[in-house]
Amino acid sequence: MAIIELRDLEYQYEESDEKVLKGLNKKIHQGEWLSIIGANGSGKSTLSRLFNGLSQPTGGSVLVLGKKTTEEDSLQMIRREVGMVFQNPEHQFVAPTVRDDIAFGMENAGVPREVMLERIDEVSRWVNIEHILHMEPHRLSGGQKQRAAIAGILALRPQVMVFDESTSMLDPNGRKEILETMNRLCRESGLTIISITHYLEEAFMSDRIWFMKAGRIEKDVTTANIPDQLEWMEAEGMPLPYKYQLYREAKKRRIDIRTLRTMVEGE
Amino acid sequence: MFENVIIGQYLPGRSFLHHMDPRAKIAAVLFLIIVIFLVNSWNGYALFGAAAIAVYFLSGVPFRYIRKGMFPVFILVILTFFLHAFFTREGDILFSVGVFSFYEEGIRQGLFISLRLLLLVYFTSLLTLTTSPIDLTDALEQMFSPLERFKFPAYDVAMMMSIAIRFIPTLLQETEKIIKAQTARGADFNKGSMRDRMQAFVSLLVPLFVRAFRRAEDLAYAMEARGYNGGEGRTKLRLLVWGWRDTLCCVLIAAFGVVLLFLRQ
Ligand SMILES: Nc1ncnc2c1ncn2[C@@H]1O[C@H](COP(=O)(O)OP(=O)(O)O)[C@@H](O)[C@H]1O
Ligand SMILES: [Mg+2]
Repeated sequence: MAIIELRDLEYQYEESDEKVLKGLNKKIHQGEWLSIIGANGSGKSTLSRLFNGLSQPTGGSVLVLGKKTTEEDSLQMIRREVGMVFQNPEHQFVAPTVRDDIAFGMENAGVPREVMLERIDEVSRWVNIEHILHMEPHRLSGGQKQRAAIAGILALRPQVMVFDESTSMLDPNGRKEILETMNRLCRESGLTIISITHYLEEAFMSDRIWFMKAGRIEKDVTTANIPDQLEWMEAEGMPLPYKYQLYREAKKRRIDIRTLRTMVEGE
Repeated sequence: MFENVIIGQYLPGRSFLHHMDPRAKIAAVLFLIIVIFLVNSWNGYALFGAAAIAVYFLSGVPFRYIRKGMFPVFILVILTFFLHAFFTREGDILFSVGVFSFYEEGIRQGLFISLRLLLLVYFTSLLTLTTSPIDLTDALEQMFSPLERFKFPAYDVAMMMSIAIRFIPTLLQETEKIIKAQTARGADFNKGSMRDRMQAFVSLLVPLFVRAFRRAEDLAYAMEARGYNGGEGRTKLRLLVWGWRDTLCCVLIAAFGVVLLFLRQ
């Protein structure tokens, strides 16, 4: 069964007269890592907020585990099953310390205190923040704050985690930490991951890529055969990771890899 | 610039007062604020002073912090004293300066009111110096939660307070960043005409507000995504623990109140 399904999904902001999302029909499967790429304003964040009922469709529907996000009774369940990590680490840290921030979601869900203590222990070890549980947000790096957010969501035992450009405000170290965490979440713990990103090298780590353009999903490709995809990606003006640029360039000029090597290293 | 800000002037520590339940501390301070208005004798103030000294030793807070916190009210205290001294015309004339005469009752009342103000501010300062803002919020939430029945949103107010406290450092950091950026572009916050300074100030406020709105939106989404839905059915990680110190405090302060009643004239 698809874990999330979009049916003729449309979205339009009240103040605007154009649809931001235009008739999407897609399924996201259990355990896969899907990345969504696309220019600024193509509707990625809007779409991500529809995955767990933070916004409601103005046309069509979103189904999570077979339940419509518009059903009032399912909404708490859906919010628990589909966790969201946002872009700005500072703006999603709500509590005075890391420990309290991890507990925030569980408190809302009415989890008993003893269970909370156990889970905080468990998830903080899982994302490697057990040594900073007592710290206040202004003493943490961006990556540490994002990992606290991930821990807080993990504590609710979700099946899906959505990352909306969660690495874009981090330094290279923080980015690496979060990417590694995402990788483990998907490959070790079997969570379904949806990651929105500007970086193709991040998208290439996933199983499938949606390319969004002006409210539509223009392409839906697997990452099994990246070399075949490079052409349109480049045509869309996406900066390819360095090794692929090199590969494309060499291919265009019909330079053989061995020749390239002699060119660089000399005879 | 803002590295050394102490939020809500809380001073972490391990004293008797630090170990007390914030609910007991708040209740005690409220009690003291009420009974201080019943005191009308020198003996009463002497007893209050003794209590203030005892509490000082229980707080472990260095005196200079208390002095710093109380300094702004000194002006108010002096003003109140002179108002009473000038305008109360009862009892014997103590002395005259030119056309002004100072009466015994005026000086007495001036001193009493000043002492009340000082003691009031002193006890509240010790409360905030020895209790972290988040403990204060938790305690207030619990103390006001019975009012939920009358539609007073104690949980929501407490959540708002704790988030406001949480974002104070963020706001300070942002202010500092913007000041640096504007200074780099030639703005000067310390020199120039009034007009220039106002302009610099506006150039600081506008981006601050824009960011604050942006942040509020992000925060609302983040909280909703994690299932925040008001206070109903919520559990709490933080516990307030009532200990022997708190019971002792209640007993002592009740006794204190009784003795004060006997010292009334
Ligand atoms: N709150 C809003 N009100 C009105 N229009 C919005 C709002 N948020 C986003 N939009 C518009 O919707 C479009 C898609 O935005 P968004 O989903 O944030 O794109 P992305 O995340 O891909 O950059 C943009 O044109 C944006 O201007
Ligand atoms: Mg976006």
